[in-house]
Amino acid sequence: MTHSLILAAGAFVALTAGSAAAQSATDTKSFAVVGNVPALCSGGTIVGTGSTFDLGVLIDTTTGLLRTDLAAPPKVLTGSFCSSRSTITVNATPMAAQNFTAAPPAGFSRTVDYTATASGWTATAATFATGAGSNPGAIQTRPTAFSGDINVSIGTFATNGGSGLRLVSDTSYLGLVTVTLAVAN
Amino acid sequence: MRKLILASAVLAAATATPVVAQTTTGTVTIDGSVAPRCLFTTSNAVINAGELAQAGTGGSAGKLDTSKLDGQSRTLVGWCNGTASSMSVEAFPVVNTTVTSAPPAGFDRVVNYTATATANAANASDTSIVAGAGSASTVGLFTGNVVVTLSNSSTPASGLLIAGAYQGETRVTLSAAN
Amino acid sequence: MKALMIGIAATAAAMVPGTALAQAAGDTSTGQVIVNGNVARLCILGAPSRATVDLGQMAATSGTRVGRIAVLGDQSVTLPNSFCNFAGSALTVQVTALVSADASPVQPGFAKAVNYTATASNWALSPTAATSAASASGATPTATSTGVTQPAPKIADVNVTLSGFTAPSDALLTAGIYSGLVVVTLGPAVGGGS
Repeated sequence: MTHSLILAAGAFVALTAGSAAAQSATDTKSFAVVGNVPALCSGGTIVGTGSTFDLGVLIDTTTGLLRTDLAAPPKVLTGSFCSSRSTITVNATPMAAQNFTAAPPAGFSRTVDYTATASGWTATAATFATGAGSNPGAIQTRPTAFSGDINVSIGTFATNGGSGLRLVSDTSYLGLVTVTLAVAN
Repeated sequence: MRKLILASAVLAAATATPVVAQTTTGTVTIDGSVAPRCLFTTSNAVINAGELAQAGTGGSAGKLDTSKLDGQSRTLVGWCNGTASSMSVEAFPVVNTTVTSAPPAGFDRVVNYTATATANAANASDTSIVAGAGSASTVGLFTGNVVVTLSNSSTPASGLLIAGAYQGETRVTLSAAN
Repeated sequence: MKALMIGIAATAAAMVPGTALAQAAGDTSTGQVIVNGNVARLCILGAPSRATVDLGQMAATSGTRVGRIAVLGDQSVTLPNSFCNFAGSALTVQVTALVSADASPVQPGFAKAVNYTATASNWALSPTAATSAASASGATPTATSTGVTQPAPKIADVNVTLSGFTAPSDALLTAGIYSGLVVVTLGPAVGGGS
């Protein structure tokens, strides 16, 4: 009688030894949440002053030559930002007579050169001189994301062809300044 | 002295006479009886089945592991001296003794099973699902092992077993008869 | 001799007391096999219906909110057939904000983190919610919350909802890949349980 009981106990031990549970009273599960933000730039808006540098009369009416005191207040692009590293590029076209489009006669010019500057974005302001052969400084890089105002100004006016030339009469001399923000790799 | 001699003579005369040789037998009848009896000489055993729920993390984790009860057996020892002795089994379910309230949907607190007792080549069994003992079987005159084996374990709702301590029992009854 | 026989018979009967009575009633003997077992406390959470929740592109690309967090709709993840086999369990939610992998310092006006709320429901009477509070530079991105106790064993689909996606101070978001994490834990309620 005793023998059979012990055998049964031995068998019981073998049955339960393999059932050591890897379970527990606590369980944990997880999942990842991912998303992305694209590199993008927004050029902001010019507030209040309108987008035209109005220089008024370009010539000294007593001499017919380009005024030496031409000036216009700078424009501010407000709310510009880039979410990543970026470049700022300034481009400008000379102010040219819009109606008198033929080649001017000797002693006259129909184009006014100037320098456009975009500052506040990069350590070195981006500048473009319309009379220069090349403008390497027209593109500048900002190595981080940035949000801020861009100051756009124009100056250093000069008659294309020489300061002794007179400007042909035209009610409209027009030039265009373009400021471009772009994400950089 | 004469009296004595006479007496002796009489005595001698009395004993000297032999009895006639005839045989007579007296009978004493001894009457006894042995009543039919059964007795378990080893009447208790314990099955410690351990963790009753399945391990792992699969779809059956936490449900009854039938291998814990099915095939478990213990040997009691007993005898019956009556040729018409019978044996019956009553299986009581293994129930959660820690948590006695009704289980929520998807859970069970009771494990049912079938218990079979074998003695003298006779079997009697009972399922714990139905209350009361199973049918009795004739086991007859025997002395020896009464092997109790469990099988067919199940849970009423095939649900998850509620945590806690569980206990049940199987009773085997030997009933003597001639 | 007859007298002798009767005497012996009576003596024989007296020598086995009680049997005569038992014979008339029949005799039973009961043996008992006790079965002991145990079920350990156990919780299992179902595998999440999604291993990764991809919010896609998170910033507005035009309009007045260009560069800032766009309106991101709620997201749902289910942990099906989660269960605890004992009374007194509770859900814990740990939420980690989405933070950009870009290690460069964050410029003024920008943030590199997106905060949100993760809410686990359908377990106890009320849901468990945790809201991350990462700073613009991505510091302290993790928040944890443990919910109320579930008083009975339970099997249910645990639903996790992600909502309320915001940038710290509603700043512009720096470009990059952002990642966060939600961890759900089910186990005995602290200070309670069976």
